[in-house]
Amino acid sequence: MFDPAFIFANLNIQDDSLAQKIAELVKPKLDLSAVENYISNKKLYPQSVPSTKLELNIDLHLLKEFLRLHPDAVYNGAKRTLVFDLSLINRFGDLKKITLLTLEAISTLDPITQILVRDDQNNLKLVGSLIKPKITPNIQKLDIKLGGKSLNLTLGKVFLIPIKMQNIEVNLGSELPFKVSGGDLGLIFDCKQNYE
Amino acid sequence: MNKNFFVKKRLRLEIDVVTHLARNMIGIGKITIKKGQMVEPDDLLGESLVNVGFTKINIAKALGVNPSEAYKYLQRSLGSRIFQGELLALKKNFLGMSNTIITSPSDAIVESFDSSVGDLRLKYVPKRVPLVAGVYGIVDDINDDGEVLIRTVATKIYGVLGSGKTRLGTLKILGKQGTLTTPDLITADQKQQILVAGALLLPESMRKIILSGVSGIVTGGINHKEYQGIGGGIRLYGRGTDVGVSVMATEGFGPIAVGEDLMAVFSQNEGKFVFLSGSQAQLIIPSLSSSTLTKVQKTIIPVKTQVVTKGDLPSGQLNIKLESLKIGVRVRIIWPPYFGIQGKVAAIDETPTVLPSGVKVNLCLIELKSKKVKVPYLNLEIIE
Repeated sequence: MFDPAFIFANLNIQDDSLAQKIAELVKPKLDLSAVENYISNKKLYPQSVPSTKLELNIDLHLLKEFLRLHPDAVYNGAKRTLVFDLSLINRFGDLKKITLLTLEAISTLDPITQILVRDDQNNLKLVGSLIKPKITPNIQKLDIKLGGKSLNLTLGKVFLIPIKMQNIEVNLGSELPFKVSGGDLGLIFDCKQNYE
Repeated sequence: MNKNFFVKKRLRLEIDVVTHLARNMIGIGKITIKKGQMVEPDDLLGESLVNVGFTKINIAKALGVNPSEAYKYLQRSLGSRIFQGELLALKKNFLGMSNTIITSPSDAIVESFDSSVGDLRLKYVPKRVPLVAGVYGIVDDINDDGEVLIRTVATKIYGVLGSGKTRLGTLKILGKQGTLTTPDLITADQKQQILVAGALLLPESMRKIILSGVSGIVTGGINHKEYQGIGGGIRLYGRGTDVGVSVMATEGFGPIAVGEDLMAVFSQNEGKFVFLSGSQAQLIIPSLSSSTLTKVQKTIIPVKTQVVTKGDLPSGQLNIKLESLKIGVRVRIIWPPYFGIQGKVAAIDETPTVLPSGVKVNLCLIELKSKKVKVPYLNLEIIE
């Protein structure tokens, strides 16, 4: 089982740019010194949990940085799966937030990736799928068909569609149709990335 | 059945334990003590010579002559020794009236002369520095680096981070536990002392401490920026770095008061001679009781091949283990809003609570001095 404390125990606190980035991104904006101290204390006490939303926000940024540097902690490119341990979800509170953050952190995700959750008994449960459509320039919207129903997705955004069904047929424009499965999380269409 | 909640247990304090204390020679010298010998605090272990530097005097400018001509006015030959105040150079002026003289600023050796600029280089005479034991004990090891390991009895305090080599000095407490250490608290009479500061060292205070000759400082918290500035932060623990003062933080980063468990020990030992190893985040208070020798003789401890003061991590970081949290144990809170405060576990919730952050975790009721608070169990450390 993945220990979330590992994320913080291996922070590079010599990297001033990380603290600077976080100080500017979190709302409300924080004093740089406060963020630097926060990150350093996180390294000193990696087992600690955030009490407030602001603290969680900083932790999520740190998680994103960790995943950027260590994508294999959750992503298996060969199997085309994203696996999130239950301990990670409990630690950061929200699978949806963790998944969306992972999309930003790992740029090399496969166009079709299964999303799974692993419990403390090592059982895997499929909770959804990630689809990254190929997007050609000069197109503002993407017409898709999901289980026979038409949908219009605006490019430049990420869409989370809550569907629990398994083996749904997806048509992306003129491409050949394929099947994916939903679950507790659903289907995520990443229309931000992957311009040809 | 009750679930076990495991939290970290950190060693912060060892009272009157038999331990090794390293006494290091400064400069090149000779250790005269023998392995196995018993020592008392005033006993001489050895002596060394320390180079104290050099100075340059522009003879040409001082005498008002061309650089190439200045050499002929020297009154001492190169390589000779000169004492402070003795005549170094002399230029006789018109009719021998109002001669221009230069005297030596210190005891030195007349080392070299640069005729292109007229500079005379004086090398200060090396100083003899005795190495005294400083403790009661038995010499267990002497190594080639001029280090003497003495088995003694001491109280050891472990911080969480630090920087700087081992220094000794008299322990002095500055102000109250939770206060900021402002520059006005640092005074000239604190030279070579080991200060115990309040909650946070301000950057300007750090500068004053370095300039004032204070040997070391113990604080509750330190800012990340200041810690980087004193060479810390390399793998979190500043190994091998020294800015002229040893620093140890007992709690973490930011304004956090020294924990009450350690503050009590500091208060009891104010005025005593102590050793602060910044890079090991360790403060050692030797026992100066004459019964120390009896205890030391009865207890043999191995001489570690890697000496504690040269280790990779602060000693305190090596002494962390996991333990099941129980009602009644003493804990310290390791996260805001009660960071650094200590109390006793009064109750442990069986069911988890969702915090404002959205994280689900079991809370513990902690009895502090003046109130009770609920804290996630993961934000606690058991105090050994």
